[in-house]
Formats: sequence, structure tokens, C-alpha cells
Amino acid sequence: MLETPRIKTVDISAQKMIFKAELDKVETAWDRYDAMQPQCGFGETGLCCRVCWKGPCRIDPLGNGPKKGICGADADTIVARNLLRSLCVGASAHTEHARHIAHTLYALSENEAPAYAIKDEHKLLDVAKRLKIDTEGRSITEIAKEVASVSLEDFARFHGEFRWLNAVINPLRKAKFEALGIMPQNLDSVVVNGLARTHVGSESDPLNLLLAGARVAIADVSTMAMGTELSDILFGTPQPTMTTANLSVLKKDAINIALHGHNPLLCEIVCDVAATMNDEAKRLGASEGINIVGVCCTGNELMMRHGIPLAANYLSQELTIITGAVEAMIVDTQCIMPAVVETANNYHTVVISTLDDNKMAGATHISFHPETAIEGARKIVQLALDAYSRRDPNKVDIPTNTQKAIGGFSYEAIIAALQMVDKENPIKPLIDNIVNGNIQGVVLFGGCNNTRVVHDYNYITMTKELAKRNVLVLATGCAAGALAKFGFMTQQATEDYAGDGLKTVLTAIGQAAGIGGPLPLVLNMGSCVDNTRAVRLANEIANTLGVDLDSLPVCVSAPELMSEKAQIIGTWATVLGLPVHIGIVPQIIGSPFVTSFLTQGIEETLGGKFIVEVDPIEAANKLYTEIQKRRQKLGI
Amino acid sequence: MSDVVDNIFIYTDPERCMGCHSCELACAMSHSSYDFNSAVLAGVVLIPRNKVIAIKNQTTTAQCVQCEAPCLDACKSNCMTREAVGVIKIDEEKCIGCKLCFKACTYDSITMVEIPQEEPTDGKKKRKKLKAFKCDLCFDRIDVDGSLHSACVEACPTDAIIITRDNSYRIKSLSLRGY
Ligand code: SF4
Ligand code: SF4
Ligand code: SF4
Ligand code: SF4
Repeated sequence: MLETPRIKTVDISAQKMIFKAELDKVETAWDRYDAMQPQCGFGETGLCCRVCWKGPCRIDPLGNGPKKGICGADADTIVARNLLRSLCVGASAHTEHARHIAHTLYALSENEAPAYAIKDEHKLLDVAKRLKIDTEGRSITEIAKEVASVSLEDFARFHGEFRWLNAVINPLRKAKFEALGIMPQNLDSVVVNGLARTHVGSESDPLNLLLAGARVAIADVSTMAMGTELSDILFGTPQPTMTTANLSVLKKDAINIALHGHNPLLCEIVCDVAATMNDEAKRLGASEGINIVGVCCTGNELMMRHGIPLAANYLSQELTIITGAVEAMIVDTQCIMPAVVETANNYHTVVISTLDDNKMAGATHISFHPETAIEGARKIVQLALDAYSRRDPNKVDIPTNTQKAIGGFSYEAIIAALQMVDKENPIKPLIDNIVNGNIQGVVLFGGCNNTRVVHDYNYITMTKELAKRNVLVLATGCAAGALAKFGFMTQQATEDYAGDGLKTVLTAIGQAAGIGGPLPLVLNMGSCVDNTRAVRLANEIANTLGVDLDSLPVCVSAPELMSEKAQIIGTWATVLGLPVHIGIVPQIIGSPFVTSFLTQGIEETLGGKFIVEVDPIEAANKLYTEIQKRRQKLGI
Repeated sequence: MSDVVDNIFIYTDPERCMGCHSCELACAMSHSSYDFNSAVLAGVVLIPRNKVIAIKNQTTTAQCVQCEAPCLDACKSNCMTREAVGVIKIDEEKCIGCKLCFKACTYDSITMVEIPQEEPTDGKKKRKKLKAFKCDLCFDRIDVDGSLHSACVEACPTDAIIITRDNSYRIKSLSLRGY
């Protein structure tokens, strides 16, 4: 067969480790991808229904085969139902994340979580204010308790005001949702309702199914905001910090611990505990002590708050282990490939799962609970120390092209930098520069990696294209990982890639903020759950201008998305009124109705829409066109 | 590929094939004595004689094109036959696993499959047993009137697979596969 080997990644450190994987005869996601080819067309088009056990029913998108499932569900119903199910799962993942953090804050206020503290009282007061909680004359603990209670009530709220939603969605947008009848009442039942509608013989109207998806999305953005903001209260609101990224951040002479997953509850404590065990590590012969590195969004959480180096994003997670230098990979939840356990078996690495509802087959499990966090973390770090003696130096090969990166651009950090330019009205310099065209618009990159496209390539290509046209680039999640690893979160990148207008603005703000040069080309806003930091910034601009989000020259792009969480985030961004580019053909194209509604019809009602474009240059062009359309409408 | 052979063979239209692998499952089932559920439950390995392949953005299947059959000439154990309908067939029972046909096939259409053997009780080393597998258009399922019921053709949900004697399809199929 005439096949040329395809390029797998543009991350040089990852390329090196893919090569090592071949030498070590260790399988990676790319090998499994190859073995999986060709992938099933029914699944790819969303036309396979497994809702009941009469199925699977598959609709033939090409002509002669069946046009209806056994129950009579047609392509539109099947695709809309499948999509709604995925959105519910994505929202559930965010819900569990936020719930876990809210519970911990509550436990802390009850004195039952000794490992934790309120690290950012200012943020607590800010959140309390936005949740309309009285702070006057009350102790921090009392306020924390009410913030936690109100948050926990939001999950099952039956009466009264949905507090987090009101704190996140601007009034103009809320009015639109109310008019459409898609306002959720709380966080939990909206998911249950969404799932119930997809049961065999329930809803078959594809439009109503999609509107149910929109409703789940509105609840989801509210939950995500809760997850982020309560984490800031517990662990501190991120501020710009210098760090490093890509697989080269592992150290030959250290005991390397990779923290992987999504939830800051565990990794924060592991960091604290590891800091106290450095001497032990040195006694074991690791002259550089313990080296903690991040993977995926746990990595982003740590990078944002503590400047801890980020080793890998989603598709390079296995490669972290393949360096042969990782003593332990500690995982919590979401986006952890089951494969890492097998990968670790080829080396001395111990994979430790920590959440009782996220056990991994074949991994060592150490139950992690907020009440006993410190003992748990100590056991975990001890396992890493034990593993060090089993390390085979012949198997160690760490890439050596470390990239610098600046992380930590929370909403608060961006406002603080802008305050250096305009103390009274910090959002004004940003708006002025959008109006005068120095900044044409804003694109927020989010999402994952996907074996269907070259790892990290779309992020790099699109960022270059947009930045040179003076588009301000923000990033979260594995998008942020990609751009950090590639050196786009540096001042040098601004010099190299920003258009003149953008460079002027980033330099002015950077100088005023006293960092002796421009802000980095791409502002890292955090993990994927932190996308709501960008929503807060966009709302601030919209409110100041007295318009809704669908008027702003702001777009979202997820050029390498895969997870259901990314799907729901893309959906809420669309529902909030933003154009959302996706670089992967979504599993909906089997339904002409769903496809046309999500890429066109929805724009009329809600202002946002999905733009599917697999070519990154073309995608950048399309987003730039959307930005120009919006500028024109605003008359700027 | 210039020779005109009027044997009957399988052609899979890449424009229609969705790569669902249904034909592979059907092929494997067709050459076994199991039904689908019991095969899955028993965890038995059943090997198809065809293979779904991807070329650029298209999918199609690869299997024997029933050509002028150098494989048949190569076989020294008399297990290959040219059937009247124009199919080259292997008698898997008689096959001794010598690989001569496998080496003779110009188009990589014969698979040598390891057949699981019982552990020898006399302490001798376990010997590998191979058998040659290839597409026979499900010749065992032929009707009295000579019509074929190839399992893959029946299984394909998009009707991508046809049975034909038209040599131009043979050329298409082979060139798709890079020959
Ligand atoms: S719900 Fe309908 S379409 Fe889906 S599997 Fe059951 S019968 Fe088939
Ligand atoms: S196995 Fe090869 S040589 Fe034999 S008939 Fe098929 S294509 Fe021809
Ligand atoms: S004809 Fe029979 S042997 Fe050949 S590919 Fe089809 S099912 Fe398999
Ligand atoms: S059944 Fe048809 S569509 Fe499916 S893989 Fe086989 S040839 Fe392709």
C-alpha cells in the first residue's frame, strides 16, 4: 500500500519521545489510532443509535439503506439525541468537579478540612457580593460557609434565584433565554431532564432536543464558573508567573512526579506535602529533590497558581512516562488515558489513582478525601520516592528544549494589569484599543488534542495567522498547553508574531504593569474549566458598552477538540452569542437538520454559531471575517 | 494488471464504503460454525478473508481479486481449485501451511493464519500450525442454481460491495490498493 508516514505532532519534545517509544516498543495513542483505521462511518456521522436494545440502528446516509431506526426515529432525531447525551455527560463532568470543590469549601467552614484554607479572602468577598451574600460584620468562615451553601443549593435549587447563573449570565442574554424558554432552574436536574428526553420513545423533535442541549449549556457555564471561582478562594487567584513547558521540564536528577487530571483539590496538597519531603528525596540520591510537573488541566491549574512547569497536554500524556524519568503519575479525573497504566508497566513509573469514583484499572489506588488530605498525599509521595530506586538509568532520555512560558492571566490579573494604564476604569484601555483597531478582536482558544489532526499544529498555525492580524489571543486547557509548549506565552513571541497594533497594546500594558516589555502573545487563562474567566472579561466589555455578547468581535476556537466537556463548552459559547470554530468534523453531520441549525439557524435566535473548518489557515480567515462583520455592525 | 480474466470477484466502491467493518465481521462469521452472539460470548477469534482499508480519505476493502491465479499453480498440496463459477478456492482442511501460495500471490491477498494448537503432552516443543486464508466469495454458500451469497455483500449497509466479472473493476480495485 502506498502510505507515507504521517506527521504526528509539531511538539519537538513529543516527536523525540514518539521515536523513543518505537525503540522501547511501547505503544502510543498514535499506534492505536492507526490500528483503529478506518473508523466507522455511522459513528462519525452520529447515525448509530444505541439508545435501546432493539438497536443498534444505523441510518444509511448514502441512499439505499434504512432511513429510520426500528422504532421509527429518523436521522435528525438520532443525531440530536446522541448530541444531547454527550452534552449531558460533558456538563456532568463539570458539575462533579465544581461540587467536589464546593463540598470542600463547606467542610473547611465546618473545620473538617484541615489541609485547606481560604487563601484569597478578597476573592471570597468578591464572590459573595456577586452571589448577593451579605458580608457586613461577618467572619470569613461564616461568609465561606454561606458561599458554599448557596453553591451547593444551586445544584438542586427548586425555588428562588439561581445564584451562579445570575452571577455569570448578563441581563440582556438572560432575557433572550427567558424568551426562548430555555432557562435552567438548577445545575443537576437540567442534566437529568436532558437525559430523560433521549429515552426510547421520548422526545423526537430534533429542534426541541437541541434547545434542551442549549439549556444544559447555560447551566454548565454557571457550574464551571463556580468550579473556578471557588478554587480561587481555596488556592489563590492566579497572577502572572514565569514557568517552563514541554517534556523537557522533567529532570534527570530529581524524583519526578507528574500530576494529571483536572481537579486542584488533590494536586495542591501533593505540592505542599512534596515540599516537605525534599530532603528525603535527596537522601535517596536525587540531588535535585522532588520535581513536580503538570499534565493536562491539573498542569494548567498548577502552572497558573504556582508557576509549576507543564510537561504535556492531552496527547503527550503517555510520552511523559516514556521519558523513563517519571517516578509517579498521580491522577484525579477526566482526560486520563486508561493506556497510561500499561505505558507505566514498561518503566518503573507508578500510576496512582486517587478518587473513589475515578479508579483506573491496573493502577495503584490511594483514596483521597479532603478530611485526610495530608496523610493521603504523604502516602502518594512516598510511593514516588520508593519507585525512584527502581528507575533504570538506561531507559531515561529527557528532551532538552525547554520553553519559557508566562501563565496566570486570570480575569483579576488582566484587570490588575489594565489598572496600571487606567486606574479608575481598567476596561477602558481595552475597549479603546478595540475601537481604534489596534486590537481587531479577541479569539479564545480552548479544547483538547485529537489524533485526527497533527498534535498542536492547528493551535500554532491559527495563532500565528490571527496574531499578525492584530487579534488578541487567549487560551485555556490543552490549547493553552500547546501554545505554552510552543513558546507563544512569552514576550519574545509578541515581538515575533504580533501585528503592529497588537504589539503596541501588549507593550503599553506590559510596560505599565512593570514587566519590562510586552505581555506575552497568548494570555493563559487557565484550565478548561477556567473558560468562564474569559466570559467574565467579555461580559465586562459588553456591559460597559451596553451591548450583549453577540455584538462583540470575540470568537472561540477549539481546533483540536474531542471530549464531551469541550463539546458542551463550545455549545455554551455558541448559546452565549459567540462564533465557535471547531477543527474536527463533529459527529452530527448525518442529520441535515442538526447540521444546518447549529451552523446557521441558531445564529438568528442566539447570535452564535458553529463554524466547522478543518484547515487552520482557512479557519483563521473565517474567524477574522466574523470579527470584521461584528466590527462593522458596531460601527467601528 | 493487463491480463483479462473472466473469474468472478468482489469490488467495493470507495465512494459508498463507510468503513464500518460490517463486511469483515460477516466474512469471519461466514467461514465459521458459530453464530455471532455465541462467538462473541465465547471470545473465539474469527478471521475475515477481507480487510477494510483506508486510502487517503476513502475506505474500501481489500481481498482476493480472483485473478489468473499463480497461487493455484504454486500450491504443491493440491488444495486450491478453480471452481466452475470462476472462483479460486482453498480447501483449508487440506492446507499444510507451506506458504507457497502466499508467496505467489501478486496482490498480497492470502493471509497465513496461525491455528491454535493444543499444548503437546509429550514434552515436545509446540509447533506452529499455519493455514492459508483467502476470499472465496463464500463459495460454501452457493445455491443449486449457481448464484453466490457472499456474506460481505449481504452485510454491507451501504451496498458498497458488488460481485462482478468486469475486468475494469479489477483494475480499479487493484490500483486503489496501490498496485
Ligand atoms: S431507540 Fe430506536 S433507533 Fe435507537 S436503537 Fe432503539 S429502535 Fe433503534
Ligand atoms: S490469491 Fe492472489 S494470485 Fe491467487 S487468485 Fe487471488 S489474487 Fe490471484
Ligand atoms: S466473498 Fe466471502 S470470503 Fe470473500 S470477502 Fe466476502 S465474505 Fe469474505
Ligand atoms: S460493510 Fe460496506 S461500508 Fe462497511 S466496511 Fe464493508 S464495504 Fe465498507
